[in-house]
Amino acid sequence: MKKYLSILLICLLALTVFGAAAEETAPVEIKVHDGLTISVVVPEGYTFSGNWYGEILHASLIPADPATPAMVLSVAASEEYGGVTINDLSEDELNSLIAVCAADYASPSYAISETTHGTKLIVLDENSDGDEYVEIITLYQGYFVQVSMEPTDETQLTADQIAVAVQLLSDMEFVTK
Amino acid sequence: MNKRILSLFFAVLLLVILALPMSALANTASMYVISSNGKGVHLREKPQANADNVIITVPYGAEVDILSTVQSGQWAHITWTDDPNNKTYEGYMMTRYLTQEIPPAYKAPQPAQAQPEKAEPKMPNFANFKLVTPYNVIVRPSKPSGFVNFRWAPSTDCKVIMRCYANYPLQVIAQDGSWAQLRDPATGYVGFMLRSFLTEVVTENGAPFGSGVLVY
Repeated sequence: MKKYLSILLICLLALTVFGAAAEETAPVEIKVHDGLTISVVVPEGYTFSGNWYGEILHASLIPADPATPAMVLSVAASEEYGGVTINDLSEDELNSLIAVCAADYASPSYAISETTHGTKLIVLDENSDGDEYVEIITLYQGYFVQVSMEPTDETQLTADQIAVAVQLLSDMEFVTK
Repeated sequence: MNKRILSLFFAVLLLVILALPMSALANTASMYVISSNGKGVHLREKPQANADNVIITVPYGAEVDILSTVQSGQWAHITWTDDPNNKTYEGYMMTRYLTQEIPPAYKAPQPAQAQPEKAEPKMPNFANFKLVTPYNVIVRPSKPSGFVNFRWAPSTDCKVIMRCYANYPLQVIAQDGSWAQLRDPATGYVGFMLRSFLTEVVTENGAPFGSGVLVY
């Protein structure tokens, strides 16, 4: 009897461990074209849903907690930066790109971050009294990839909330063939 | 009498036949190539941003003729004549890189400051706004993956009504040098957007808005 109980306990324990492992979210693979796939690690507690509109992908990352800001991931081809990756840009070209990205901002501030694979990220933050949102932008082989986030109410985004948006792009992997 | 009527009929018919090619030519619209970094834009064999279908790179500021638009206005079927060689190329270009007005000589934008001091809010100014015959536009964000803010008033410090992604259709009802007052046909909202983020829609027969059927 004790033997059977022990076996039952071990089986239950194994089921719990494997069940937990199965709940981990697998990365979402976005096929940009035959030579490029983007692997996105969806943060815990978010649901990913995306569609291509011609040459542009828009994907929503909706949190289970309605008090947590949602995010929008967008991928789009650029003809003026065709084939170019952000790390290829000179300092002047990067500064011009940042200025272009901030063209519709009232009071932008920015920082440069990196993905875990070393691709630069532009973290742009709107600091005006009338609006609040953040965009994390990168450029890979002529494709702009960005995440935008805005608060659920009239408040400012917190550093922790912005960190989630930055992490989404930081964990992103660009797989080329 | 019958002969006179018959002569008049043939004269009118002749005039109509002669006028047809001229009206077809009038339906071809010209636009200019524009880009955020002053570089040229690809002309492609098909309306697809693949690496292997580039015909040629059309320089910044070049004048092109619009034959039609496809894929809900995202691409334009165009011709471009390379003047020095007098060779004409035909293909497809993304409409976000086309503008009705001759673009100014490219000047690199002022670099943004990483952590600037908070600037005084810019107050909206309506003094120079003029009503226009309404014309259709699509939104052209500064980066193709981004959005443009549709605001309550013409100032980047004004609150945002909604954020419009690339190719979102709007209608201009008034404008000044920098800003447009627009109506959103989908929601009925009226707001303001910087004109530099808008591309005028070209209709299916190549003519600018107002003389044909919209491709939507």
